[in-house]
Amino acid sequence: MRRWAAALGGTALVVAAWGTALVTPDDAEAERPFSVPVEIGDRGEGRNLAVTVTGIRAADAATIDGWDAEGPWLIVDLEAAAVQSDLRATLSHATLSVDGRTYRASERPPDSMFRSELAVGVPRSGSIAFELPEEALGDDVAVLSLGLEADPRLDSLIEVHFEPSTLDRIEEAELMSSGWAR
Amino acid sequence: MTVDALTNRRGWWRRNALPLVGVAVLLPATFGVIAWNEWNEYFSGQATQPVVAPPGGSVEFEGAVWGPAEIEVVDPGAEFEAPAGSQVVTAAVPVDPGAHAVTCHTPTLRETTGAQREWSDATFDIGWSPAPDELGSCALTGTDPFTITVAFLVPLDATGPFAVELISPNALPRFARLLVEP
Repeated sequence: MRRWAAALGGTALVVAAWGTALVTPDDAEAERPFSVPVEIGDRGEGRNLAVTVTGIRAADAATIDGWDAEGPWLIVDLEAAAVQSDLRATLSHATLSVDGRTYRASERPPDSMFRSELAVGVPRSGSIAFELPEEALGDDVAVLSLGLEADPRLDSLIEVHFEPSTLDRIEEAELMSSGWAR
Repeated sequence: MTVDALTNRRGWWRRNALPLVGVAVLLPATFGVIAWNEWNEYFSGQATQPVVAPPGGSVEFEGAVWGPAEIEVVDPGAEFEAPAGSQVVTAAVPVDPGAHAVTCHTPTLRETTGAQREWSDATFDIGWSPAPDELGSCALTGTDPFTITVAFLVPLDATGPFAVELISPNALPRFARLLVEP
């Protein structure tokens, strides 16, 4: 083989290796959740989770069943069902991302859809509450993510993009009792 | 390119024919063996090999005779009103353990076509009370024949055909799939 041909071949292989390394996704990218973007009021369906966010409310205080707490609170009303199997189907992932920060749904309300069990094909309705710092409610961009596993990797996430700053802030909001939607 | 060079090139392939054939065989074989090994290990811990009873028939599994499985749409009683778009279905599976007591989890109900949706026991959720001699699983049973009865909350759009599935932990990856007469 001619010397220039060997040099050219070698260079081509190095460039190809560099290109391959460049386009290879890293671990986090390879295990990224499958996002299902939906609007408020629309039904989003993932692998084993179907969710309709029916409303998002902002309030200074939240109440349910005689329990109440000062916030500020962001309250998400929703209907959710499992799609394929109800084994281990709980709404265990509920986060709100605002301005680079991620907030998990509150465990404080005595009744919430957060971590509740879902049934296949028969939706349940209720609320999820997020206790937020004041500045988060003034932001223009927020992403609500809902999924079945606390670790959302490689599973569907139903995601709603909305503007917290456009919500009407009320003094006190009552969470919906969890129950069958219909 | 001279005639000599061409002969030389063909000569290289010919000289290395045996190792080349070896690479061509071993490379796919390596991938095949690794993949088979990994999947086999994964599937051996999951219910992946059904032992099927025909509709209206029974099957021998883990030394016991299971079936025939029957399902029935029932009125759950005053305690519970099925949500709109759903109904309560009970499944009964007679079991003859034979010489030794058997172990099994609470059975699930599965659609055998389409999305193959799967429902688990909802007896507690819907407040349905089985008769005193009806059991939810094989727990604490001896060698006398008994019947497992479980209630499921199933959407009206699930029209079957259905199967009742029973997992015996020691038998995995085999499990009993009892087809139900439509």
